Amino acid sequence: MPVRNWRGTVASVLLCALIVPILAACGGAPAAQPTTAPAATTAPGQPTTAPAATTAPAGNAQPGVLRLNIGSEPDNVDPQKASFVVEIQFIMMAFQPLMSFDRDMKPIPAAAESVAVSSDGLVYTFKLRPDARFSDGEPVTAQNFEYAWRRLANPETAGEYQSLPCGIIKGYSEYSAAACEGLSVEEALARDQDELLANFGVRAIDDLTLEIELTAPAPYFPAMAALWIGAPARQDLVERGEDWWYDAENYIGNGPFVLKEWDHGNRAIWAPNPNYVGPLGPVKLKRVEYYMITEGQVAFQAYQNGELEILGVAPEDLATVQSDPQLNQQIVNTVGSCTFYFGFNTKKPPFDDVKVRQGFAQAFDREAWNRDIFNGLGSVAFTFIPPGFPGHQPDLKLWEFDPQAARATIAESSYGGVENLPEIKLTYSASARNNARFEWIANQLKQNLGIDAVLDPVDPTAFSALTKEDPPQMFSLGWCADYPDPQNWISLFQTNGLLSTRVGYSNPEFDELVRQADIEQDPVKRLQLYNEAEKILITDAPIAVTRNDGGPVLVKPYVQGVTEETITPIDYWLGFFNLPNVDVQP
Amino acid sequence: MTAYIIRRILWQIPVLVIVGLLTFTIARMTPGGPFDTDPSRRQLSPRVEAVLREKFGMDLPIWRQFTRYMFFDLVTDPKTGERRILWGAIGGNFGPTYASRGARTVQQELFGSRGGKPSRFYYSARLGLQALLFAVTIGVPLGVLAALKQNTWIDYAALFASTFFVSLSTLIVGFLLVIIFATWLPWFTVIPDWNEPIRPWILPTVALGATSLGFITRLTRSSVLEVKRQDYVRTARAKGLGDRLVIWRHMLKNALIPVVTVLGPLAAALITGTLYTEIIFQVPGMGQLLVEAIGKRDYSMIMAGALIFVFFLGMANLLVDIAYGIIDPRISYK
Repeated sequence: MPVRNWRGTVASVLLCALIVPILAACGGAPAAQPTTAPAATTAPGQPTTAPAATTAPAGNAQPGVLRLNIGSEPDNVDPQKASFVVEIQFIMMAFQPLMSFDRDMKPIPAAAESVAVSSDGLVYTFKLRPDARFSDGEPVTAQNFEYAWRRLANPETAGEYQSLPCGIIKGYSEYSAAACEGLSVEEALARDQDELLANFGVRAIDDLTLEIELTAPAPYFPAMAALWIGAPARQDLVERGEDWWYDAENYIGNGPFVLKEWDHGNRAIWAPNPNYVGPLGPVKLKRVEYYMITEGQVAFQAYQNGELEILGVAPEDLATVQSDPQLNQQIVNTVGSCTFYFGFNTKKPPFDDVKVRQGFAQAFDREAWNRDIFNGLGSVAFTFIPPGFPGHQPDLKLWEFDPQAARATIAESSYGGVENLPEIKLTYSASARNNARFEWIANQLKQNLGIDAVLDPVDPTAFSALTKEDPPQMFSLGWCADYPDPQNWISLFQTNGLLSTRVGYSNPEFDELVRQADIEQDPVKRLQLYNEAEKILITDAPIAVTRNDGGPVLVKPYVQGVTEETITPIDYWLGFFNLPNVDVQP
Repeated sequence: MTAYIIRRILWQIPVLVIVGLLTFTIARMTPGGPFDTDPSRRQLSPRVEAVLREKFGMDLPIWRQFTRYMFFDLVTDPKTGERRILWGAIGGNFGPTYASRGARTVQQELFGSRGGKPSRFYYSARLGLQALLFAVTIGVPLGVLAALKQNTWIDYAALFASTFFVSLSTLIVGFLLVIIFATWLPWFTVIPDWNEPIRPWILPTVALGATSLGFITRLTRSSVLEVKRQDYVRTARAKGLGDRLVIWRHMLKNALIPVVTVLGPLAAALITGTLYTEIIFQVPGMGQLLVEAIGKRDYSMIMAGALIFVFFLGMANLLVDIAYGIIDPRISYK
């Protein structure tokens, strides 16, 4: 029997005990879990039991009206501050950045009409659409974008993504010195702001021309320019207060939709933006209603009752949905943008030995994991970049499941064999769902390697802190794409990178390949370099990649434009399932 | 009486400070913090986290974070260098919420208008009062009736119904109501339209009031049964007083004391928001916000939740004590 270790949860319990009288319940609270992918539109962890009312009433669907559940109220939808998926879904309804993505996830001009790059790859010139206007009729100018990028870099803004362009845009690191150079905000603001802005690489040349100068060639920059962080928030509106975005009337953008009403904590209502110009659309829908239902079971009832047109299905609900002859017909499978993996702390025994890491990577039955635990919802993964994304290597399958080989590999390590390994602790974020999953993993280790692993559940927030400050021996993590470019995946494992620090990974050969790839301007050569680097990463096995996400979404038959052929993993960006392409015809 | 009330209110202050201190200590002792997000999404870079910690004053000594939250602090504007006093909870400022990245304060979230719609407090308080009213107006007469008709079918039926409601959690009653009245019967919708004046309130009021209803019925019944056997009731009857007079003047007044006692804490709990009812019926109230704050380690919201609850509890208990005096003239305050 695996032993549970309850260290660190005592204080959580105390905290709950103190607050409990107010709230009547504590443990059952929906975890403050951000939704990570389109598939996660249901609140997690609530199995749907009642297949009641299969005689789904016609409902009150209306032509051109799409109703869907976004699962929670976005806490902040300021483009230069937001970071959660549900917030991005809000921002990208109302705003259109310089670039967007086509069906193949290639960056295409959006608010820009065209983009040109200088021969040295350092200067991008964006020509804006001359007829573009905000939803209130104001023209969209280069100054709006200059303001947005400056605002992102401004230390006072303190946005969560402010560090993304560090070292990429010229003058950005110097201006955003708190996020990029580690100064305090006070110190950063003490610098000569006018001089910093004069050297800032984003410049409006005239009303319709924006120039962005980089410090080094960055072929992934067009993808970065499609992110919500560069959405043209308007100075006159932003200056109405820190929570300017809270009132629908201030939330004015150049995107395909206009926010008509935002009943906070309940619903948001969108209408098409008559002033929209760009590659998305023309918008067919007349109205979109976002609901913020946190409880998956309630949302499921609402869908059955014909009150929602689209609903994400949790893994626990899949059996119910599949066994229902009507719902079964309404399943649309989506592919996700996330990769899940086990991280091995290469600084802690026994994972300081590469052979042990490789052995563990081989000893994990990914097929069974995805089938038994996820009902086959996602896909088995061997590489870090998921399928469908540029840089994905379908043929790179280094550590296929083979328990015999795994034992042999571990026998080659400095430990000499499985029996000599120190105690293995599985540290994970405690929840009913994870408890079951990690019991399963412990069982795998027992079966395949004969290891008695100790289960170590910790409170979710505490777990997150732990992976940053003192990463456990072995833990489970995931990473989701910010933008479709290998740089957003592979480069994070450079020495002292965002993800490599968690596992203490550092390999000079890998670093050099990534350094070259990041500035390589020939797309073919660049991809090759990333592919080589990824191969080294998987061989060194500081992580053992297990699966990619994805999953079914229920879509009413009268909804057009949400099919497996038409949606891409990053469609959540464009509101939700690329809403400008969707129509409802009951 | 007035002196008594003022004294009671003043006594709230040390209680609130102690509760604040306890909550603060436990919240900070709990591992993790507001910037530790789900590990499967993009993490804050350590430097961005440092910027945010500075913004929220988390780089200050821990005692000063507490005094800043509860009382006041001297802050310097990073641009102009001006110093000014920043009032804390005693000045009605419960601090910026971490979830909104500091863009909104706790008092705005809980008590401010939600973009032209009533505040979250309005929804929680109205729902709580309605549920309380529902529970009392049905529960008390039912309990009295059951006690007067002890061991008849009325008593058994009331007892059964109240036990049933007490044992079922709000969660289950809520789901049952949704399935029966919104899915099977077309009387309500699963997603309520809060622009309507009455309809969306009915089901959550019943669901929330059901447990209290069962509880109040049982309490009233046992209390009336006890009073029924008292000597003064027998005396009253022996004097030849009519049933109505005995019940109203002699029995009810005394029997209601325990019921009124529990109403205080019950009211405070119902008014400050209830998690499950709000989740199932999608009420934009405070309960969900306060519970989610624990998971998010939204310290200012956690503190505010505890302080506001204790404040309402104290006020409700004061009202109960005043009500004693009205019901029972023997109780008086100086």
